[in-house]
Amino acid sequence: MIRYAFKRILMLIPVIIGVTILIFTLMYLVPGDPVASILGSDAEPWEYEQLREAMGLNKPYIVRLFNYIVQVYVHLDLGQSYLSGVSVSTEIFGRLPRTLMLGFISTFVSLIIGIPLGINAAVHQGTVHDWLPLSVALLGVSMPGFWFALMLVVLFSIKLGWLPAYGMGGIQYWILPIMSGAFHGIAMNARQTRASMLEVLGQDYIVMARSKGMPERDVIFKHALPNAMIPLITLMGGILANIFGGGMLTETIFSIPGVGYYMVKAVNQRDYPAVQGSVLMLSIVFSIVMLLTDLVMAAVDPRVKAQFASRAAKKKKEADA
Amino acid sequence: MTEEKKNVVAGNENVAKKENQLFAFFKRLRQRPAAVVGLVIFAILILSAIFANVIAPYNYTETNVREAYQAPSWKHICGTDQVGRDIFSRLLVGARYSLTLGILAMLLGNLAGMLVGSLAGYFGGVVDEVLMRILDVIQSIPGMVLNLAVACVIGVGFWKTIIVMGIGGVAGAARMMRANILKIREMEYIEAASVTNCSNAKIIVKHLIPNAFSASLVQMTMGVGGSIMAASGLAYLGLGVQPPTPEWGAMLSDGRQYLTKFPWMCIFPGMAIMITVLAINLFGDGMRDALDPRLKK
Repeated sequence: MIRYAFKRILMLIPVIIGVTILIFTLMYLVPGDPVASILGSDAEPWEYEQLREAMGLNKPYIVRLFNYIVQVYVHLDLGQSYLSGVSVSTEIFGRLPRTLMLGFISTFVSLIIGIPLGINAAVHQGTVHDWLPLSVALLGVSMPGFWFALMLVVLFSIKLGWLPAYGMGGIQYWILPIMSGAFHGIAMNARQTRASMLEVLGQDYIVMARSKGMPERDVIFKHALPNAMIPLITLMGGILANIFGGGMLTETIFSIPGVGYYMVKAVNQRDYPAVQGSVLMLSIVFSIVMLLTDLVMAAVDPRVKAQFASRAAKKKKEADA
Repeated sequence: MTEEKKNVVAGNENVAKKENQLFAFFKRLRQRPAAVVGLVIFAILILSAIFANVIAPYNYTETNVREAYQAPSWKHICGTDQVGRDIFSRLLVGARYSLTLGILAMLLGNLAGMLVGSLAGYFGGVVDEVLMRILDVIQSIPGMVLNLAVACVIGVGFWKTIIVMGIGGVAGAARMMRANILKIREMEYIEAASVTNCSNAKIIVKHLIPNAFSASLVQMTMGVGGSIMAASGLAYLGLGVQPPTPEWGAMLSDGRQYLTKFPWMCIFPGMAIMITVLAINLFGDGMRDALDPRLKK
């Protein structure tokens, strides 16, 4: 297990370097000239050349790419914003805690509400406990997350006046963002839990457990649930991508100064070092979260563990021979 | 002559068999009322998009400042926007944009994904390894973040948004296609084709893709809804379809600054998206069950 974890962590390094190359290339391909937009139209040609050289934009693509990678991974510096001149690293690390907090709490809420709803629906198939949460979940996966957020604002802030519509502050400022961040995840989790529970409950070993007189509670929580969890962990990848990607919209709607909000502003102002830095940071966070999900999956799913153990044993045998 | 006749007969049988399968599929689909409801809603949406000009009570570009900011009433059932355009009429015309966008983006992403996935799955080895590592890189960027970065390069507007959404869908489609191909590659009929000197290109196009295609039909259907939702998010951030195009996401983006006083400008476009995606999801769920061989009776 430790070796598996170690291997997965090593595999993360080329992926993150790949993301760096990809995002650098994308920003390289963006039409438009940052130097001209900084200086404005009435700049002298020599001024233009000087700034272009100072920013390193006169060098060929491959040199600039190499410089960027060295700058990011050796000096741990994401560059400076074209517009404000402020270090992108400082901006992003100052904002990261809010993005992480929103992401993790939303994920947590989506799990602790979605899974019990799904289990309850599967156990009471065909009753009101099944169709009511399931219909709501179906609506949930069918609406854009940011529109749900807007509707929450209309209801709870504008009509009822219970919660603030945007801004930062105490816990009341976090309730709507987390609700809108988690809603889609709750719906996905409830649907998947119900589907895989129903599938597992039809298996022979459940019939066996019931027929030997095991209490229904134990059948569900000891036999059915652990097996039903496996597809759910796979689904978590999609849910997390949604929460961390959709976080940009949530942060924009509620004016939460996180990395996503920063990125949206940077894209609209064509501030490329800031865009590069935020995409990179969001991708690194997302990759690490996915890695953790995979490790949990390996720990939970005996098949993955066995597969790895047998492969390791085989390798060892080959090495011995 | 006998040879020819046999071929013709075999061909007819083939057609008959295909029709039979399709018929059986619809028969099973009909037993699922939710799927039928989804299909009917979707058909109504498509019809109203086609006949938008006939159904719409007002011209969707017609401004009327005296009737601006009107709440929903019998005269304007979804209200009017900041320049007095009838929102219901705009939604009807917007269906054209949103549905076209969703369908084309899904097709674009899936076709490109299929190409990549089938190359990886069929050749295996180094080709597979390289393509999969590239997909790993792309998929380690959360979807919406990738869309935004690509939109930054390609630009905004209706057609460009389709390309952005299509690019966003390539990696997922390629991975799914590869998994399907790996399964199909082991089948006897592929071996038979390759033994009879069928070229690689022909095997991929004639045998692998059609079979893998039907395996990913459900995901593709659901993909239309996903594209519509993602495109609306992009439009909301100002990097998708731009107002005054009546695409639903652009209408949401247009209405957001009036959210406090005139919320219907945001409520109805979102509801239009929700109804469309709901119809697609209902149909997709039903289709998955109808295609699932384990549920066949």
